[in-house]
Amino acid sequence: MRNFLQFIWNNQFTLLFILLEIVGFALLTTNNHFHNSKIQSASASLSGSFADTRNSYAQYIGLKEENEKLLDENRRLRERLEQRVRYRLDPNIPFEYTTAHAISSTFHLGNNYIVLDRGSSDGIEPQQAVLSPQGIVGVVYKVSEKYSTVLPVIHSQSRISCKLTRNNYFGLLHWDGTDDHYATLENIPNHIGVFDGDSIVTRGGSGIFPPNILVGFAEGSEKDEASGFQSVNVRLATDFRKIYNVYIVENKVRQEVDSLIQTIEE
Amino acid sequence: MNRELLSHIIRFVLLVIVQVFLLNNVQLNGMINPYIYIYFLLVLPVDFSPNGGLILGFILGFIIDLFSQTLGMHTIASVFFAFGRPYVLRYMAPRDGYEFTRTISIRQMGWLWFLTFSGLMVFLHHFVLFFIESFRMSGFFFTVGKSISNSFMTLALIVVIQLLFTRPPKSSYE
Repeated sequence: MRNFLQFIWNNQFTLLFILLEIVGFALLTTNNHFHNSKIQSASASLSGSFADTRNSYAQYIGLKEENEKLLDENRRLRERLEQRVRYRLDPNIPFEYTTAHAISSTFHLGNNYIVLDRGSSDGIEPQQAVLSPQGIVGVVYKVSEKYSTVLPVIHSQSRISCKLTRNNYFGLLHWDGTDDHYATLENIPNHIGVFDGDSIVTRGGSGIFPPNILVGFAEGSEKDEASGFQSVNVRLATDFRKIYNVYIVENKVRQEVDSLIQTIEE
Repeated sequence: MNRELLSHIIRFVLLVIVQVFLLNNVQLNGMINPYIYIYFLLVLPVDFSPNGGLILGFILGFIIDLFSQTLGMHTIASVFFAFGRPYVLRYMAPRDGYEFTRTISIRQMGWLWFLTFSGLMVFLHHFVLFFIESFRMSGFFFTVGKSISNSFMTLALIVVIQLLFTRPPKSSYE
Protein backbone atom coordinates (compact mmCIF):
# COMPACT_ATOMS: atom_id res chain seq x y z
CA MET A 1 0.00 0.00 0.00
CA ARG A 2 2.81 2.35 0.93
CA ASN A 3 4.58 1.56 -2.31
CA PHE A 4 1.38 2.17 -4.22
CA LEU A 5 0.90 5.59 -2.65
CA GLN A 6 4.55 6.33 -3.26
CA PHE A 7 4.09 5.37 -6.91
CA ILE A 8 1.13 7.74 -7.26
CA TRP A 9 3.06 10.52 -5.55
CA ASN A 10 6.11 10.05 -7.77
CA ASN A 11 4.08 10.00 -10.98
CA GLN A 12 1.48 12.58 -10.05
CA PHE A 13 2.21 14.73 -13.09
CA THR A 14 1.71 11.93 -15.62
CA LEU A 15 -1.30 10.53 -13.77
CA LEU A 16 -2.96 13.94 -13.58
CA PHE A 17 -2.29 14.36 -17.30
CA ILE A 18 -3.90 11.01 -18.08
CA LEU A 19 -6.88 11.77 -15.83
CA LEU A 20 -7.52 15.16 -17.47
CA GLU A 21 -7.19 13.69 -20.97
CA ILE A 22 -9.69 10.97 -20.06
CA VAL A 23 -12.12 13.69 -18.95
CA GLY A 24 -11.43 15.51 -22.24
CA PHE A 25 -12.14 12.40 -24.34
CA ALA A 26 -15.22 11.68 -22.27
CA LEU A 27 -16.48 15.17 -23.12
CA LEU A 28 -15.65 14.63 -26.77
CA THR A 29 -17.41 11.28 -27.12
CA THR A 30 -20.37 12.05 -24.89
CA ASN A 31 -20.96 15.11 -26.95
CA ASN A 32 -21.10 12.99 -30.11
CA HIS A 33 -23.32 10.19 -28.92
CA PHE A 34 -25.89 11.29 -26.40
CA HIS A 35 -28.24 13.72 -27.99
CA ASN A 36 -29.72 14.94 -24.75
CA SER A 37 -26.51 15.66 -22.90
CA LYS A 38 -27.22 18.63 -20.69
CA ILE A 39 -23.81 20.20 -20.96
CA GLN A 40 -24.20 20.38 -24.72
CA SER A 41 -27.45 22.27 -24.61
CA ALA A 42 -26.03 24.53 -21.90
CA SER A 43 -23.12 25.19 -24.24
CA ALA A 44 -25.54 25.82 -27.09
CA SER A 45 -27.50 28.40 -25.16
CA LEU A 46 -24.34 30.03 -23.77
CA SER A 47 -22.58 30.41 -27.10
CA GLY A 48 -25.95 31.23 -28.63
CA SER A 49 -26.66 34.16 -26.37
CA PHE A 50 -23.13 35.49 -26.79
CA ALA A 51 -23.31 35.18 -30.55
CA ASP A 52 -26.66 36.92 -30.41
CA THR A 53 -25.22 40.05 -28.82
CA ARG A 54 -22.30 40.03 -31.22
CA ASN A 55 -24.63 39.65 -34.17
CA SER A 56 -26.87 42.50 -33.17
CA TYR A 57 -23.88 44.76 -33.78
CA ALA A 58 -22.42 43.03 -36.81
CA GLN A 59 -25.74 42.24 -38.46
CA TYR A 60 -26.28 44.94 -40.97
CA ILE A 61 -22.93 44.94 -42.68
CA GLY A 62 -24.26 42.34 -45.11
CA LEU A 63 -27.75 43.77 -45.18
CA LYS A 64 -27.76 44.88 -48.78
CA GLU A 65 -26.68 41.56 -50.18
CA GLU A 66 -29.08 39.70 -47.88
CA ASN A 67 -31.91 41.89 -49.18
CA GLU A 68 -31.06 41.10 -52.77
CA LYS A 69 -31.20 37.40 -52.02
CA LEU A 70 -34.54 37.72 -50.26
CA LEU A 71 -35.95 39.72 -53.15
CA ASP A 72 -34.79 37.05 -55.53
CA GLU A 73 -36.38 34.37 -53.42
CA ASN A 74 -39.62 36.28 -53.16
CA ARG A 75 -39.69 36.46 -56.91
CA ARG A 76 -39.26 32.73 -57.27
CA LEU A 77 -41.90 32.05 -54.64
CA ARG A 78 -44.36 34.23 -56.43
CA GLU A 79 -43.71 32.37 -59.62
CA ARG A 80 -44.40 29.11 -57.90
CA LEU A 81 -47.53 30.49 -56.30
CA GLU A 82 -48.78 31.45 -59.69
CA GLN A 83 -48.09 27.99 -61.03
CA ARG A 84 -49.93 26.53 -58.08
CA VAL A 85 -52.99 28.63 -58.75
CA ARG A 86 -52.84 27.87 -62.44
CA TYR A 87 -52.62 24.11 -62.10
CA ARG A 88 -54.76 23.82 -58.96
CA LEU A 89 -52.31 21.70 -57.05
CA ASP A 90 -53.20 20.14 -53.72
CA PRO A 91 -53.29 23.01 -51.19
CA ASN A 92 -52.71 20.70 -48.20
CA ILE A 93 -48.94 20.60 -48.34
CA PRO A 94 -47.57 18.96 -45.20
CA PHE A 95 -44.56 21.25 -44.80
CA GLU A 96 -44.56 24.17 -42.41
CA TYR A 97 -41.85 26.84 -42.64
CA THR A 98 -40.33 28.86 -39.78
CA THR A 99 -37.82 31.64 -40.43
CA ALA A 100 -34.61 31.74 -38.40
CA HIS A 101 -31.20 33.38 -38.40
CA ALA A 102 -27.84 31.66 -38.25
CA ILE A 103 -26.27 33.58 -35.40
CA SER A 104 -23.08 31.56 -35.31
CA SER A 105 -21.59 29.15 -37.81
CA THR A 106 -18.35 27.59 -38.99
CA PHE A 107 -17.19 26.26 -42.35
CA HIS A 108 -13.48 25.62 -41.81
CA LEU A 109 -13.69 22.68 -39.41
CA GLY A 110 -13.92 18.99 -40.22
CA ASN A 111 -17.24 18.93 -38.39
CA ASN A 112 -18.98 22.25 -38.80
CA TYR A 113 -22.04 23.49 -36.99
CA ILE A 114 -24.55 26.31 -37.17
CA VAL A 115 -26.47 27.87 -34.28
CA LEU A 116 -29.96 29.22 -35.00
CA ASP A 117 -31.92 31.68 -32.90
CA ARG A 118 -35.01 29.47 -32.71
CA GLY A 119 -35.55 26.74 -30.15
CA SER A 120 -38.09 24.44 -28.55
CA SER A 121 -40.24 27.42 -27.56
CA ASP A 122 -40.72 28.14 -31.28
CA GLY A 123 -41.71 24.54 -31.93
CA ILE A 124 -38.33 23.46 -33.27
CA GLU A 125 -37.44 19.80 -32.79
CA PRO A 126 -34.41 17.73 -33.75
CA GLN A 127 -34.58 16.15 -37.22
CA GLN A 128 -36.22 19.09 -38.94
CA ALA A 129 -34.83 20.34 -42.23
CA VAL A 130 -32.99 23.66 -42.54
CA LEU A 131 -32.97 25.52 -45.88
CA SER A 132 -31.36 28.73 -47.06
CA PRO A 133 -32.66 30.95 -49.87
CA GLN A 134 -30.13 29.23 -52.17
CA GLY A 135 -30.61 25.59 -51.22
CA ILE A 136 -30.38 23.08 -48.42
CA VAL A 137 -28.36 23.73 -45.27
CA GLY A 138 -28.74 20.74 -42.97
CA VAL A 139 -30.78 19.09 -40.26
CA VAL A 140 -31.60 20.37 -36.75
CA TYR A 141 -29.46 18.44 -34.31
CA LYS A 142 -29.98 19.72 -30.78
CA VAL A 143 -32.49 22.14 -29.34
CA SER A 144 -32.45 24.31 -26.24
CA GLU A 145 -35.24 26.62 -25.23
CA LYS A 146 -34.31 29.54 -27.46
CA TYR A 147 -31.57 28.16 -29.68
CA SER A 148 -30.88 25.14 -31.79
CA THR A 149 -27.82 23.66 -33.45
CA VAL A 150 -27.75 22.38 -37.01
CA LEU A 151 -25.80 19.49 -38.47
CA PRO A 152 -25.01 21.09 -41.84
CA VAL A 153 -24.23 19.35 -45.13
CA ILE A 154 -20.58 20.20 -44.44
CA HIS A 155 -20.32 17.86 -41.44
CA SER A 156 -18.68 14.45 -41.72
CA GLN A 157 -21.77 12.75 -40.23
CA SER A 158 -24.19 14.33 -42.69
CA ARG A 159 -26.01 11.92 -45.07
CA ILE A 160 -28.76 13.27 -47.29
CA SER A 161 -30.74 11.42 -49.89
CA CYS A 162 -30.57 13.31 -53.20
CA LYS A 163 -31.43 12.73 -56.83
CA LEU A 164 -30.41 13.98 -60.26
CA THR A 165 -33.18 16.07 -61.78
CA ARG A 166 -32.22 14.91 -65.29
CA ASN A 167 -33.20 11.28 -64.74
CA ASN A 168 -34.32 10.85 -61.12
CA TYR A 169 -31.50 8.49 -60.19
CA PHE A 170 -30.86 8.91 -56.47
CA GLY A 171 -27.91 8.49 -54.10
CA LEU A 172 -26.51 9.61 -50.78
CA LEU A 173 -24.82 13.00 -50.42
CA HIS A 174 -21.95 13.22 -47.98
CA TRP A 175 -19.01 15.53 -47.29
CA ASP A 176 -15.35 14.54 -47.14
CA GLY A 177 -14.25 17.27 -44.73
CA THR A 178 -12.01 19.37 -46.98
CA ASP A 179 -13.74 21.99 -49.13
CA ASP A 180 -16.92 23.66 -47.90
CA HIS A 181 -18.05 24.36 -51.48
CA TYR A 182 -18.15 20.73 -52.61
CA ALA A 183 -19.81 17.51 -51.48
CA THR A 184 -20.02 14.04 -53.04
CA LEU A 185 -23.06 12.16 -54.29
CA GLU A 186 -22.49 8.39 -54.06
CA ASN A 187 -24.23 5.33 -55.49
CA ILE A 188 -25.07 6.59 -58.98
CA PRO A 189 -24.69 3.66 -61.42
CA ASN A 190 -21.78 3.96 -63.85
CA HIS A 191 -23.89 3.82 -67.00
CA ILE A 192 -25.84 6.96 -66.04
CA GLY A 193 -24.51 9.97 -67.90
CA VAL A 194 -23.79 12.83 -65.52
CA PHE A 195 -22.96 16.15 -67.14
CA ASP A 196 -21.39 19.23 -65.61
CA GLY A 197 -24.08 21.61 -64.43
CA ASP A 198 -26.74 18.93 -63.90
CA SER A 199 -28.79 20.05 -60.94
CA ILE A 200 -29.12 17.85 -57.90
CA VAL A 201 -32.15 18.15 -55.62
CA THR A 202 -33.40 16.50 -52.46
CA ARG A 203 -35.34 13.30 -52.87
CA GLY A 204 -37.56 13.82 -49.85
CA GLY A 205 -37.18 10.14 -49.06
CA SER A 206 -36.26 10.46 -45.41
CA GLY A 207 -39.26 12.62 -44.64
CA ILE A 208 -37.00 15.36 -43.32
CA PHE A 209 -36.46 17.47 -46.43
CA PRO A 210 -39.23 18.48 -48.76
CA PRO A 211 -38.62 16.95 -52.20
CA ASN A 212 -37.05 18.92 -55.09
CA ILE A 213 -35.12 21.47 -53.03
CA LEU A 214 -31.92 22.51 -54.79
CA VAL A 215 -28.73 20.97 -53.36
CA GLY A 216 -26.14 21.87 -55.95
CA PHE A 217 -24.73 21.24 -59.41
CA ALA A 218 -22.64 18.37 -60.73
CA GLU A 219 -19.02 19.14 -61.54
CA GLY A 220 -17.44 15.98 -62.86
CA SER A 221 -17.73 12.45 -61.54
CA GLU A 222 -15.43 9.54 -60.76
CA LYS A 223 -16.39 6.10 -61.99
CA ASP A 224 -15.41 3.12 -59.88
CA GLU A 225 -15.24 0.09 -62.22
CA ALA A 226 -15.01 -2.36 -59.31
CA SER A 227 -18.28 -1.40 -57.63
CA GLY A 228 -20.11 -0.25 -60.75
CA PHE A 229 -21.02 3.03 -59.11
CA GLN A 230 -19.74 6.52 -59.71
CA SER A 231 -19.41 9.34 -57.21
CA VAL A 232 -20.47 12.75 -58.45
CA ASN A 233 -18.68 15.89 -57.33
CA VAL A 234 -21.37 18.38 -56.32
CA ARG A 235 -20.87 22.13 -56.11
CA LEU A 236 -23.16 23.13 -53.24
CA ALA A 237 -25.75 25.82 -53.97
CA THR A 238 -25.60 27.19 -50.43
CA ASP A 239 -22.63 29.36 -49.54
CA PHE A 240 -21.87 28.31 -45.97
CA ARG A 241 -19.49 31.24 -45.58
CA LYS A 242 -22.23 33.83 -45.53
CA ILE A 243 -25.25 32.01 -44.29
CA TYR A 244 -27.71 34.13 -42.32
CA ASN A 245 -31.40 33.91 -43.22
CA VAL A 246 -32.68 30.33 -43.11
CA TYR A 247 -35.95 28.42 -42.94
CA ILE A 248 -36.68 25.52 -40.64
CA VAL A 249 -39.09 23.06 -42.21
CA GLU A 250 -41.35 20.78 -40.27
CA ASN A 251 -42.90 17.84 -42.05
CA LYS A 252 -46.22 17.31 -40.34
CA VAL A 253 -46.76 13.84 -41.77
CA ARG A 254 -43.28 12.48 -41.07
CA GLN A 255 -44.48 10.33 -38.16
CA GLU A 256 -47.09 8.79 -40.40
CA VAL A 257 -44.58 7.96 -43.14
CA ASP A 258 -42.07 6.64 -40.59
CA SER A 259 -44.55 4.27 -38.98
CA LEU A 260 -45.63 3.06 -42.41
CA ILE A 261 -42.02 2.29 -43.37
CA GLN A 262 -41.54 0.47 -40.08
CA THR A 263 -44.40 -1.89 -40.82
CA ILE A 264 -42.57 -2.88 -44.02
CA GLU A 265 -39.33 -3.53 -42.20
CA GLU A 266 -41.08 -5.69 -39.63
CA MET B 1 -2.50 41.39 -4.86
CA ASN B 2 0.65 40.23 -6.50
CA ARG B 3 1.25 42.25 -9.66
CA GLU B 4 2.46 39.30 -11.68
CA LEU B 5 -0.53 37.14 -10.70
CA LEU B 6 -2.86 39.95 -11.70
CA SER B 7 -1.23 40.28 -15.12
CA HIS B 8 -1.65 36.52 -15.71
CA ILE B 9 -5.33 36.70 -14.80
CA ILE B 10 -5.91 39.70 -17.09
CA ARG B 11 -4.06 37.93 -19.89
CA PHE B 12 -6.25 34.84 -19.43
CA VAL B 13 -9.48 36.83 -19.69
CA LEU B 14 -8.32 38.98 -22.62
CA LEU B 15 -7.06 36.00 -24.62
CA VAL B 16 -10.34 34.11 -24.15
CA ILE B 17 -12.31 37.17 -25.27
CA VAL B 18 -10.10 37.79 -28.32
CA GLN B 19 -10.21 34.11 -29.28
CA VAL B 20 -13.95 33.67 -28.90
CA PHE B 21 -15.23 36.94 -30.28
CA LEU B 22 -12.61 37.80 -32.85
CA LEU B 23 -10.42 34.95 -34.03
CA ASN B 24 -13.12 32.25 -34.07
CA ASN B 25 -14.77 34.43 -36.71
CA VAL B 26 -11.67 35.01 -38.80
CA GLN B 27 -11.18 32.40 -41.43
CA LEU B 28 -8.72 33.16 -44.16
CA ASN B 29 -9.39 30.95 -47.11
CA GLY B 30 -11.29 28.47 -44.94
CA MET B 31 -8.01 26.90 -43.88
CA ILE B 32 -6.40 29.32 -41.50
CA ASN B 33 -7.78 30.05 -38.07
CA PRO B 34 -5.22 31.07 -35.44
CA TYR B 35 -5.63 29.79 -31.88
CA ILE B 36 -3.95 32.49 -29.86
CA TYR B 37 -5.44 31.54 -26.47
CA ILE B 38 -2.59 29.09 -26.08
CA TYR B 39 -0.26 32.08 -25.51
CA PHE B 40 -1.46 32.12 -21.89
CA LEU B 41 0.00 28.68 -21.20
CA LEU B 42 3.09 29.45 -23.24
CA VAL B 43 4.29 32.34 -21.09
CA LEU B 44 3.51 30.93 -17.65
CA PRO B 45 6.55 31.36 -15.37
CA VAL B 46 9.30 28.81 -15.97
CA ASP B 47 9.09 27.50 -12.40
CA PHE B 48 5.30 27.27 -12.40
CA SER B 49 4.05 23.96 -10.97
CA PRO B 50 3.54 21.41 -13.79
CA ASN B 51 0.40 20.09 -12.09
CA GLY B 52 -0.97 23.61 -11.89
CA GLY B 53 -0.16 24.03 -15.58
CA LEU B 54 -2.18 20.92 -16.43
CA ILE B 55 -5.18 22.16 -14.47
CA LEU B 56 -4.97 25.65 -16.00
CA GLY B 57 -4.70 24.01 -19.44
CA PHE B 58 -7.82 22.01 -18.71
CA ILE B 59 -9.79 25.05 -17.54
CA LEU B 60 -8.65 27.18 -20.47
CA GLY B 61 -9.42 24.51 -23.07
CA PHE B 62 -12.78 23.81 -21.48
CA ILE B 63 -13.80 27.47 -21.57
CA ILE B 64 -12.78 27.81 -25.21
CA ASP B 65 -14.72 24.60 -25.97
CA LEU B 66 -17.83 25.92 -24.27
CA PHE B 67 -17.85 29.01 -26.43
CA SER B 68 -17.02 27.33 -29.71
CA GLN B 69 -19.26 24.25 -29.50
CA THR B 70 -16.39 21.81 -29.77
CA LEU B 71 -16.66 20.11 -26.38
CA GLY B 72 -13.49 18.15 -25.63
CA MET B 73 -11.32 19.18 -28.59
CA HIS B 74 -9.57 22.24 -27.16
CA THR B 75 -9.54 20.63 -23.70
CA ILE B 76 -7.55 17.65 -24.97
CA ALA B 77 -5.19 19.81 -27.02
CA SER B 78 -4.39 22.31 -24.26
CA VAL B 79 -3.94 19.65 -21.58
CA PHE B 80 -1.53 17.98 -23.98
CA PHE B 81 0.21 21.31 -24.46
CA ALA B 82 0.58 21.76 -20.68
CA PHE B 83 1.93 18.22 -20.40
CA GLY B 84 4.59 18.73 -23.07
CA ARG B 85 5.69 22.17 -21.86
CA PRO B 86 7.89 21.18 -18.86
CA TYR B 87 9.69 18.56 -20.99
CA VAL B 88 10.38 21.00 -23.83
CA LEU B 89 11.50 23.61 -21.28
CA ARG B 90 13.90 21.14 -19.67
CA TYR B 91 15.20 20.03 -23.07
CA MET B 92 15.79 23.61 -24.20
CA ALA B 93 17.26 24.88 -20.93
CA PRO B 94 20.15 27.34 -21.42
CA ARG B 95 23.55 26.23 -20.17
CA ASP B 96 23.25 28.13 -16.92
CA GLY B 97 19.62 27.16 -16.36
CA TYR B 98 16.68 29.52 -16.03
CA GLU B 99 18.05 31.14 -12.89
CA PHE B 100 18.01 34.73 -14.06
CA THR B 101 15.05 34.50 -16.39
CA ARG B 102 11.79 33.44 -14.87
CA THR B 103 9.55 34.81 -17.55
CA ILE B 104 9.41 33.65 -21.14
CA SER B 105 9.71 36.50 -23.61
CA ILE B 106 11.70 37.54 -26.63
CA ARG B 107 13.56 40.16 -24.62
CA GLN B 108 14.58 37.72 -21.91
CA MET B 109 15.38 34.66 -23.99
CA GLY B 110 16.32 36.05 -27.39
CA TRP B 111 14.61 35.66 -30.76
CA LEU B 112 16.02 32.29 -31.72
CA TRP B 113 15.19 30.57 -28.45
CA PHE B 114 11.75 32.11 -28.24
CA LEU B 115 10.76 31.28 -31.83
CA THR B 116 12.01 27.70 -31.54
CA PHE B 117 10.21 27.16 -28.25
CA SER B 118 6.92 28.76 -29.30
CA GLY B 119 7.00 27.22 -32.77
CA LEU B 120 7.48 23.74 -31.35
CA MET B 121 4.81 24.15 -28.68
CA VAL B 122 2.27 25.78 -30.99
CA PHE B 123 2.70 23.08 -33.62
CA LEU B 124 2.29 20.40 -30.95
CA HIS B 125 -0.98 21.97 -29.82
CA HIS B 126 -2.34 22.58 -33.32
CA PHE B 127 -1.46 19.10 -34.51
CA VAL B 128 -3.26 17.45 -31.58
CA LEU B 129 -6.21 19.78 -32.11
CA PHE B 130 -6.63 19.13 -35.83
CA PHE B 131 -5.97 15.45 -35.43
CA ILE B 132 -8.71 15.15 -32.80
CA GLU B 133 -10.94 17.20 -35.06
CA SER B 134 -10.56 14.94 -38.08
CA PHE B 135 -10.30 11.81 -35.92
CA ARG B 136 -8.90 9.57 -38.62
CA MET B 137 -5.68 8.63 -40.35
CA SER B 138 -6.81 9.05 -43.96
CA GLY B 139 -6.26 12.79 -44.25
CA PHE B 140 -3.02 12.65 -42.29
CA PHE B 141 -0.93 14.91 -44.51
CA PHE B 142 -3.81 17.31 -44.93
CA THR B 143 -3.94 17.55 -41.13
CA VAL B 144 -0.19 18.10 -40.90
CA GLY B 145 -0.34 20.81 -43.57
CA LYS B 146 -3.25 22.50 -41.82
CA SER B 147 -1.35 22.38 -38.51
CA ILE B 148 1.76 23.93 -40.05
CA SER B 149 -0.05 26.75 -41.85
CA ASN B 150 -2.07 27.57 -38.75
CA SER B 151 1.01 27.39 -36.52
CA PHE B 152 2.69 30.10 -38.59
CA MET B 153 -0.37 32.29 -38.24
CA THR B 154 -0.57 31.79 -34.46
CA LEU B 155 3.18 32.28 -34.12
CA ALA B 156 2.99 35.57 -35.99
CA LEU B 157 0.29 36.76 -33.61
CA ILE B 158 2.35 35.66 -30.61
CA VAL B 159 5.30 37.71 -31.83
CA VAL B 160 3.03 40.73 -32.34
CA ILE B 161 1.71 40.38 -28.78
CA GLN B 162 5.26 40.04 -27.47
CA LEU B 163 6.43 43.17 -29.23
CA LEU B 164 3.39 45.20 -28.21
CA PHE B 165 2.88 44.19 -24.62
CA THR B 166 6.13 43.17 -22.99
CA ARG B 167 8.12 45.87 -21.28
CA PRO B 168 11.84 46.10 -21.90
CA PRO B 169 14.02 44.86 -18.99
CA LYS B 170 14.13 47.23 -16.02
CA SER B 171 17.73 48.28 -16.59
CA SER B 172 16.80 50.32 -19.63
CA TYR B 173 14.68 52.63 -17.47
CA GLU B 174 17.60 53.55 -15.30
